[in-house]
Amino acid sequence: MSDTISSFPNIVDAGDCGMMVLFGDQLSDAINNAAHAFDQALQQQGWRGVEELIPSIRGVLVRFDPVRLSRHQLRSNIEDLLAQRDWLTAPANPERKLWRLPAHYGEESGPDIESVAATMNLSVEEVVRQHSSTRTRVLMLGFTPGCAYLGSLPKIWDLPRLDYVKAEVPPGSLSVAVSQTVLFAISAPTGWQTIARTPFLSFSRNEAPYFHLSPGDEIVFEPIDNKEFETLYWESCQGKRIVAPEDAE
Amino acid sequence: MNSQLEIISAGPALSIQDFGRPGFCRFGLSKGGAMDLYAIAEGNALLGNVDTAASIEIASFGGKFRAVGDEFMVALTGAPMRSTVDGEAMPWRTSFSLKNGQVLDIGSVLDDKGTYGYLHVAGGIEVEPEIGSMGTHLRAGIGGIQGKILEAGTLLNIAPANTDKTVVQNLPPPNYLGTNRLRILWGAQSERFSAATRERLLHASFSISHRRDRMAMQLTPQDSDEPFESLLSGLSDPVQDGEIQITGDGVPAIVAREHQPTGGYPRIASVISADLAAAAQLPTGRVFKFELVSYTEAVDALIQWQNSIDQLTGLLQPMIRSPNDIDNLLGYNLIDGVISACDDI
Repeated sequence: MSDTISSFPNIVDAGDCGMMVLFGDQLSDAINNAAHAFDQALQQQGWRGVEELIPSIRGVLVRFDPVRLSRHQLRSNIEDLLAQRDWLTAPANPERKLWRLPAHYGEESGPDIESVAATMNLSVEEVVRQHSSTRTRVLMLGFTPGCAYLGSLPKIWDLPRLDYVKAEVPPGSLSVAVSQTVLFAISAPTGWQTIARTPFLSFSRNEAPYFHLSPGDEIVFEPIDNKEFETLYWESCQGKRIVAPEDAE
Repeated sequence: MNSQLEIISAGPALSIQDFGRPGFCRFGLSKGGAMDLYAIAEGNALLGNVDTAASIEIASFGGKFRAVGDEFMVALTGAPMRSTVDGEAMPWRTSFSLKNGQVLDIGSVLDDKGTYGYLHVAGGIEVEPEIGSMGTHLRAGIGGIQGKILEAGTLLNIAPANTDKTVVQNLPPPNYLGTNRLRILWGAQSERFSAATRERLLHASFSISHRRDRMAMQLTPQDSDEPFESLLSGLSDPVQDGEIQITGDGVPAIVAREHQPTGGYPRIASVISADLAAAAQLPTGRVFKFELVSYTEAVDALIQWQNSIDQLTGLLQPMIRSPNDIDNLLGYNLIDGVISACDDI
């Protein structure tokens, strides 16, 4: 995106098979909501030649086959759709889910929770209370399969990244920085601070649907102790769905 | 038919690959698939395989592969590599058969003509598909054998061949191997970079650094040791194959098949889709340049590329004698004659 373009939404070419629709240049719930609403609207259009829609924190990448759909035609279609409403005030997808995910805070599940509490000048209990009770949404999935960026958390959670990268955190780890939580679906390296771990596995490789969380879904965490974590994690690993999503509306 | 392929010894980066898993970027999984999809299509054409057949991708150096069970057809495509069966040289882009116990020995790339070679078997390598594909996504740990690089000692099953015909046929070499230019378009973030940096990208020569894998290929600028302009990372946006990103230390890299689905490093330009295989096949150390083309040229090149894949079966040349029976096969000039673009830059 060109930073010289200050008006949003805008449409920018991204390679010969990509077109990016951007609703803003910052982390904001309204911008993210616009991106998801527009993604939904694009899905409903079913334009011939559109191959993949990839919603992100602030927009949607439209991957298309330029042989079947000209760039000119696609841009014009997108412009028409953009003009249909103010996407920043679009209602959230009525089919989005609410997931109440159990989470074990601190101890070996969240080794950085004390340093996070110290940075925020809060008690560990207050960190747990705030983090678990804030309803966040899946801003985007990325980095590794099923890895969800959840946000946004209140300003006080605008925490710095670590100055080193941990080689690996286990699946289900909840790591925080820049007013977001990352929920890791598979083990991965991270430079964010890990405060908890959920026994919920958001990615199952052997059985469709492979990915359980969708962009726009909402999340709250329910603190559990280590023993409950062990039990639920074992059940998850056996393929049991330990959390049933609710309708978010 | 009951045939297997045993890996007796393995080069550093063998993996089972196919056309990948499109459609899951929104869930954090990039498409993956073979670095050179043209080479996969060639293998399928040579052996009459279905499009979804899986092959072995060989980065730089192959290994030894023993045929087990019923005789089966194989073919080698992509970067030509030194290859022999029981000591007899075997040609590239020509199907031939392997009998029980025969050992196919694949060495290093010949004449610096590429990086990725492919070993195909009639019917395709058979592993349990994961998320709709047998291909290995190493970064995600999905597909192939436990999502990993293939190791010596592995016994691979071979799916039943589409045809029991053992026709020996060959294909002419493609012209993208050995190129020294990659065509690019400016992308969504190009204008974040200064005009001078964009000029540098167009005028400097680059080489592919040894820091390369299926996720990205780092580039070494040849004009100066000065790092490239590095911008602050922005919010993560979706990443696409072929984008040229500049990391925080000013190192340019071409993003490849197993890219992160999203990323915050600014991307200065995109290699056109028609040149992705050429980019992947650039040998480490090869000096090349970027060439800015128009959008129309990029799409025309893509149409040409797709047509050349669609027309592969029409290019098949039956060979009257089996390569297994021909002495001194390399003398038949089967793998030479690649139309090389690596004249002076």
